Amino acid sequence: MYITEENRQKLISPTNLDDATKILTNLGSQAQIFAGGTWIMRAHVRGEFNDKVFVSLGNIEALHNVSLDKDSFRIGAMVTHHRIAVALKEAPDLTGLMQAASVSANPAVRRMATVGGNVCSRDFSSPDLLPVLIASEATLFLKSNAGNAELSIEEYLKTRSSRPSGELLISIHVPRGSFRSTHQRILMRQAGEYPVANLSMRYEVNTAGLLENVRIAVGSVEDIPRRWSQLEQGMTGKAPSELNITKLAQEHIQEFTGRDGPDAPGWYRTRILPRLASDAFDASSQQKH
Amino acid sequence: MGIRFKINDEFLEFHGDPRTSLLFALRNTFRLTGSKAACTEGFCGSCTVLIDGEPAVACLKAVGTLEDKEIVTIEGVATADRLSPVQKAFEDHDVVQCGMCFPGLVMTVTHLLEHNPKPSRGEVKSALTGNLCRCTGYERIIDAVMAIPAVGGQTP
Repeated sequence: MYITEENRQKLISPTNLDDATKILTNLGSQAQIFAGGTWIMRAHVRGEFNDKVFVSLGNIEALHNVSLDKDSFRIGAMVTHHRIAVALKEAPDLTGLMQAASVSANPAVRRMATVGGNVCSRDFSSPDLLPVLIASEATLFLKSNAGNAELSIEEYLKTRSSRPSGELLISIHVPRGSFRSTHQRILMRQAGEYPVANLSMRYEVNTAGLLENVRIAVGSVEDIPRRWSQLEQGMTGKAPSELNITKLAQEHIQEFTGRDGPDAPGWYRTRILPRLASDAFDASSQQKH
Repeated sequence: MGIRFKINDEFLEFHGDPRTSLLFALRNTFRLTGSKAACTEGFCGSCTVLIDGEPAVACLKAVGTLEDKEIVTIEGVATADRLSPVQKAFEDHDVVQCGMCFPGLVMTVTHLLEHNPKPSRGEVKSALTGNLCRCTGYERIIDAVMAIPAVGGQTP
């Protein structure tokens, strides 16, 4: 018995980047990029019918590379959450990223879900890696038939729904430094599901003992994770001992409008943000660099 | 030629839509119904199998991505006349109630013990984060794992 040609063409697995971009460009809107599959394979649960051609990236070796050196952490788009967590065991400045990769979803899904899927899935509002990549000032490297592109993750998110047809995320570079970083999340259960809200915080303490380069990103509260700029400004230039982070966060909570969802109403997502900010600051304060 | 892979040491081919989940291929095409279709969205773990030695939820794996992979299901962890140590511990401790979750639990614990032969109680709990059980309250499951002789316990 043979698989029919019609069926054979429903899932294509290119083995190099050039072939992948050509296939994606040729298929246009009929193509569905398939990374770890943990979002796409649940389409039926969301009541969606997906008859597109799956273009699986699993056989493109270049997308599976991961490397850590003294200046940066480079992650191929197909690297799983599990591999990120393992790779960062000895990188204290990237603790937030390690934490996010260690707790997202559940162990089996962490072995399947990829960083590229987390970044590129337009309708997934609760990624754990995206807020921490925003807080970490990550840069994305993309490829399409038109050429290569390099974008900050924030720029990418602004244009995510209108990216060129056939464009592929190749890798993500996260800068290293004397950072303190952490990732906090709140679930309805203790573990094993997506967060009602999450918050990533990264900053440095300068030689005068003051906070600088503060970056805070909030996820799952609105449709797309983004920075908490007023809280960042409120913390910058302060000594950790003079900060009442809960009070400061409460003063700036109106920066977010929580989304209603089956797991939690919008008001609940915003109300818990001061607690997340406080937990994040406490956890990062205990890190030593 | 179809999509070829090895399931429980047997070479098999799948000839349907390659976007089909491994779970439904196992159950509907190969009649390996030990992997359960409970949530079918990766949260409950009742369809956990090993793919190239790593635990994966079969409901989220497209068959077309599994060419040349080695898959082990609950039907492949032991022989017909002898339970695996994990299965035996579950039976001895009367872990199984409704039966939906335990195939996935066995697969997850089997992988855990291969890589961490003497886990702590906390490590067992962490490993089972993605395996939901609505009958037992979990403690008896953990007791069973901790009682496996290789882990350091004594099976009654």
